[in-house]
Amino acid sequence: MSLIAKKEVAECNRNKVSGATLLSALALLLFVLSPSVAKAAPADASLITHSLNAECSLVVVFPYDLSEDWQTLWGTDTAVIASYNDIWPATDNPNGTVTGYTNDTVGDWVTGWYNSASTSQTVSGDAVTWKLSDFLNVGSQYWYWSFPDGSEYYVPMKYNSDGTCDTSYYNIAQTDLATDFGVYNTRFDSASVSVDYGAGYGVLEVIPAGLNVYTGTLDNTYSVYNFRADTGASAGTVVVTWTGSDYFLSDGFYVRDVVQVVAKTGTLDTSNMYNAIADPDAEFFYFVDVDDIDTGGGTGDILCTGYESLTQCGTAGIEGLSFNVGYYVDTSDWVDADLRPEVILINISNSDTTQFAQEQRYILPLSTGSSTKVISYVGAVPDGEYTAQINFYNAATQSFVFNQSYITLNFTVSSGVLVSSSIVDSSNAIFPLTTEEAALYEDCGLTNLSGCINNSFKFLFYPSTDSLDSFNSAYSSIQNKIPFVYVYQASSLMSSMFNSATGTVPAVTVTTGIGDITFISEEMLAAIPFIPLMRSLIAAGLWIMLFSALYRKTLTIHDKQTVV
Amino acid sequence: MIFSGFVYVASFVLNMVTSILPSGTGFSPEVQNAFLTMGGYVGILNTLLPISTLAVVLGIIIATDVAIFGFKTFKWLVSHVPFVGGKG
Repeated sequence: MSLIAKKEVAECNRNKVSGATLLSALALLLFVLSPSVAKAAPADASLITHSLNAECSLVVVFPYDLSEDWQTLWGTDTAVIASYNDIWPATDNPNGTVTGYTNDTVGDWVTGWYNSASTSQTVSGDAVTWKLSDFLNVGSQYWYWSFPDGSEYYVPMKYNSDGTCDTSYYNIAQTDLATDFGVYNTRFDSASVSVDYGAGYGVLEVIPAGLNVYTGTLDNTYSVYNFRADTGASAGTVVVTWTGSDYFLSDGFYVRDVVQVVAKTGTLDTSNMYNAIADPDAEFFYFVDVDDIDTGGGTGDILCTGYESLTQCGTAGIEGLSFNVGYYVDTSDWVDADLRPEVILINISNSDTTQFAQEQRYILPLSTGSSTKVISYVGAVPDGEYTAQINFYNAATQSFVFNQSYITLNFTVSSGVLVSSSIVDSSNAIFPLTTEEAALYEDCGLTNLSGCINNSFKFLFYPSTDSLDSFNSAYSSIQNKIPFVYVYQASSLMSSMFNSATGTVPAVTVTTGIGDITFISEEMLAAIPFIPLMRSLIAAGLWIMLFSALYRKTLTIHDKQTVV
Repeated sequence: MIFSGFVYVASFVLNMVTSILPSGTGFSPEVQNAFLTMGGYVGILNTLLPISTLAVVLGIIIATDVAIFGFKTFKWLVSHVPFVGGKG
């Protein structure tokens, strides 16, 4: 190696030493700085905020940097993220087998969701997303998560019936809660009957409306049983507490299905009490009958069920009535959200003109189908003959869905038992018109006879949506039938051939001894100035020929008709 | 009500016809590709000639002939109805 080369190598080595020194200094700097980052964990973990995204994944935003290792930050890697209580069994999970949790039993906790070990969640900057939604069943009700300092958090969640996440529910629940979810001292467990509620647990808006009858008359605390409609099994117990001015649930999220409040002397079935944004696309009809009479048996279950006829359900004094309200919802053509029914109002009266009413709000399901909701009146029902009228109406517009959307039934109570019931009147139990059609019609009355006349003409000559849908369906189906399929397809192909022709002019090139000579190309044609003028003249000639041909054909028809 | 009745009758007839006829997928892919190929050549001609105008003009002429043919067919049918067409 030459002397010059050796000098270059030495110079290079000196440079390497300098680089290594620089890297060491940088590493030292990072080492010095890193503990300060790790110690940045907040003293108050409640500063952490959380929300649900569109797929019901929990997004937690930390007010500090999480780029450091979780172990370094918290001194442990056991940050528990769990969700209660409806987990897809591993074998049934439509999203495949999910690892990273210890339990997959319905009604059990999912725990051990370690922050650093999971591949289904990411840590980036100051936010982390726990994507448990892939294996949460639609019955999952809230997120639970805890930190090594003992802080525990609950975030309500609710799935729509089609499996998507109802984020509006989250927002509403957050609004209705007195504080932002608070901190639980005791984790709710399905095995325990009651748990003390902590400060800051709000209730959903409609809970008091369903429980008002208890004010000042019953004990302050009730157990709430949450039943799952899909399995018919209990999904746990929470506590309802009357504070003197309002009701509080120990957990305000048990609102997915039927919730029964069991008190000492009566049963109140507050069905579907949640207050969420309902689907505006709903059309429905309903039916109703007296379903149950609770005699204070204390079991909390509906003691007997039946339609059109009732059976004796107990021997003690009557404490309340339950009504089964069945309905069918068709979401396909409901277009007016303002007309969406959301409230059931029951007016009960007897021969002594004593009236009592019970109003309950429920949410129509998001999918087409039929269901039954139980609404209840709780209170003394003395012997006598009663009339109950059940109405649907819209709370926002304070109007009934249809002017006379009701069912009236009579029932008789004798010696403290319900002896008979029958539906005596109903109106628009079937809701036949779409709101589009309903919007066509004008007010009709003595002061607006023109509206009646208009409505009569519209009724006679305006085609219904159903009829048009039926025709369109038939028209669509015939396009796939032989031989019409060939006609439609040929028409479509011809149309596309003339309207979307994308051919290009091939270049005519001749190779010669002095190189390639191009005689014609698309560019050359485009550069010729008279081509557009020529096309216009040809087009004008075609139109003139057309009119000429039509004129001559008209003469021909005239001549032949003259001959005939 | 009245117009809805007509639509329902038409739908019923269409559905009845539909239920009788066999389903089909239409032209084979080769035929459809042939149309696309022809579209390419038409595109070449479109550089020089107003093909879209030509298509419209031909369409109107064909539609006119079809209408005249239909009218004549209708007249022929009527003329052969006893007591109505004057040959009873």
